[in-house]
Amino acid sequence: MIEALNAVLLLLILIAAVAAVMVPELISAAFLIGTFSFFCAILWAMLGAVDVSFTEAVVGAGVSTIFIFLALAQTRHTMKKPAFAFKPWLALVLCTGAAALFLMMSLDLPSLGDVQSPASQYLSGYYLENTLKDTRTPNAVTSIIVDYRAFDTLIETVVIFAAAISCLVIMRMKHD
Amino acid sequence: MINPHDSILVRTVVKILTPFIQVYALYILFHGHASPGGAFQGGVLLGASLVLAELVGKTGAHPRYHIRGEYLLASLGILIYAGTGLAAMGKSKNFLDYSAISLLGDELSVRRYFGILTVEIGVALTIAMTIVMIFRILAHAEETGRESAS
Repeated sequence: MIEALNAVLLLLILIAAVAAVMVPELISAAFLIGTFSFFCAILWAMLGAVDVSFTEAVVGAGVSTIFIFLALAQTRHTMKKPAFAFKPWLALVLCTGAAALFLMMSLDLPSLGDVQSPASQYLSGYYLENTLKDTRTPNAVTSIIVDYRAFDTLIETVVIFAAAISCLVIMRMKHD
Repeated sequence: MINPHDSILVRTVVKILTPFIQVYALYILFHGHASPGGAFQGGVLLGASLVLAELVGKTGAHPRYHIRGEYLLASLGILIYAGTGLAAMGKSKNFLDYSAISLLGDELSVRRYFGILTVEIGVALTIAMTIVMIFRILAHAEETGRESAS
């Protein structure tokens, strides 16, 4: 049952991604990217990463679609033919090769929830055992993000702030 | 320039929906200790609700281009975060070791609990205001350029 649902979701993600690239009208492409993010959000939720799912649904499907629309309002809505000579066969070979490499590497990935995987062997156990005792926070994700690894999160917040600053700088430079 | 939406249906639905989204954002932020979510998710949702309200707009009100307040609030969020870390350093503990701050509670775990809460409020503030800032900059791109030209 879950496998069938997963297969349908992956198929929908694939369709949305291909359609977003193929469709010539950029507003439709923006909508399709939002759809892609929305299906991804459902997939994250089914994998148990509800925090990632939240963020994907709000940022990927909601806010970034609005940002893409606003950016499109500054330019034109339809694609132009590229100025350089386009070689579809070269692109096909390169993309197929990259996809084959990814698929080959994915065989080595540990299966979902594998206790023997390196990720769940060293620090994860300590966090899960001690988060309630150390910080009175049952949600281990929160205590890892803003307590055990608070320094990472501080710099991440600065990076997000820097995104707004660079946006401001770019939009001011555009008109100079 | 963003104009108010033409349809009264859209405007009314957004007007009714926005407070609920904001309350839900605060719930995610303050309940992040015990349930999925936290500073990033709550802040992003808060920012999205503000963007939604501004995108659909109020009737007759033309939003002016200004981001000074958002800019200051976003900086304040980072200052809350870094300030908490510096306060811990002031008590001769490590940077961002919340158990040093004895403002609320004596038990070390309680101090860390409230440290997490303080820092999360800062992060959520920065993220919500960053989203609003990027939205305003993109939506009022012509004015952004004109301002620098003059």
